[in-house]
Amino acid sequence: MSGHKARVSALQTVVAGSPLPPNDVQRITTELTQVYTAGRVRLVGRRLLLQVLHSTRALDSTLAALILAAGGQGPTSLGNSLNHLRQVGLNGNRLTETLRIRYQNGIVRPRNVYMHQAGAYPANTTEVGQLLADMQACLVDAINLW
Amino acid sequence: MRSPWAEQLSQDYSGRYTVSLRPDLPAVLQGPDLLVARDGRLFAFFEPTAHEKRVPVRLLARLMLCRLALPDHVRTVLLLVEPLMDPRVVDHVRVHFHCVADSHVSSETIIRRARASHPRPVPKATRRYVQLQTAFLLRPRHEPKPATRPTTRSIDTDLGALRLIGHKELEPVQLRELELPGPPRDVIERLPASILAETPEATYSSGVITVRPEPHPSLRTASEEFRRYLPLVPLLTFSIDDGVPYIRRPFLGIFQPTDAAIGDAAIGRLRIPGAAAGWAIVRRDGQRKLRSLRNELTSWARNHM
Repeated sequence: MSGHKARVSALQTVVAGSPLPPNDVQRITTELTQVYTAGRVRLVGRRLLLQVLHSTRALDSTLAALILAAGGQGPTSLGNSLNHLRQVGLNGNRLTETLRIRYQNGIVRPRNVYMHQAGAYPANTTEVGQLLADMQACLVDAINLW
Repeated sequence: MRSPWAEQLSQDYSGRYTVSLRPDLPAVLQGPDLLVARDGRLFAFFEPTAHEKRVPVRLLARLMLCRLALPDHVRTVLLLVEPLMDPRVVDHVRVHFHCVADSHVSSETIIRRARASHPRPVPKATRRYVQLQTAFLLRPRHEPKPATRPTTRSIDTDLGALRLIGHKELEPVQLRELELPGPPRDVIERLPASILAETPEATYSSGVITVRPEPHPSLRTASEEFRRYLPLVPLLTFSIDDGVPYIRRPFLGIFQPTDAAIGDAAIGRLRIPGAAAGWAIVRRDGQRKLRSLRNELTSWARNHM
């Protein structure tokens, strides 16, 4: 399933069940909807790139919104958000270094490659599925810090 | 896998709640049947399968793994469908869910009851253990270098023979545990007979379960093969109390799908849910590689006791 609909809808439900304000939930679930609507794009490389873009943007916004809601300053990037969760945390609960490294390597690094390097595309739909899997784990761990 | 009542409920909640029917949670092979959320509240619905009705401990293993894959504030709901499970089984299982619903209860009442229940979060120690276990099982592994000791003595208990070997290329002294034909006593005490009867090909040795299943006509994919053995590790590692998993004794597992079911994609799909449940999914390579992996897992399980 190239659109990853079941995985995206699970992510949307977890976001809707998170302590984020309703406006943020609406914004992020709409962004996630773009992940499977991008599944209709015919050029495979472009489709996968769009899926990476929309999914990581959704995670970026979710982490930033959680940090803001917990009284932190809005981080400017996904890597900064992970560092904030590691060093400051949410309501005094911090992310472990094991997890920060896992998400830095599994999400931030590939995202940066695809966003900044000309000609770089995800190899296949499995890679996007893997990214979504790491994102969901990251999201659950971040919410559990609340 | 059909779950008719969960489907019905998803239609009832749709529009008022964010709903995900049979959500794809990457950290579990089989998630809840329905996930519903609104206003910072999250509800997971479980409709027992025919197999879970016969072997209810499988339902508890599914619940446990789903709780680990979802945020702490999730409320779990058991949907008791017709034909009802054995009443004694229901009594044993119901305490582990935040709320139990039968078909006479309206969808809004289910949510109201679930909201009113105690949260029962997963202990931090359990979460931390699962994070470390997952990171350990997902890290890339390298082929061990052959040992080059001048003279080695090996006691191979698998063969029941003592051999003295004078060869440079063989591995160093290593005393492996004796693999008994059946599960050891502590495993028999902890696992229900129903689960043991369904998993005859599992072998146990000091904190590690190894499974090399024989081809079975009804189990065509690696995922179908693995599903049968999946609950062994979490059921041995954790005890479940009021639906909350507590660490009992670390166990890890090695699962080697049959050649018929294997494929890179199949292994790739199983790696994350396998690691989250304490399993390393590996190809059927040489005995030497398996032995090295088993030693690695044994040390890890021992160090995390």
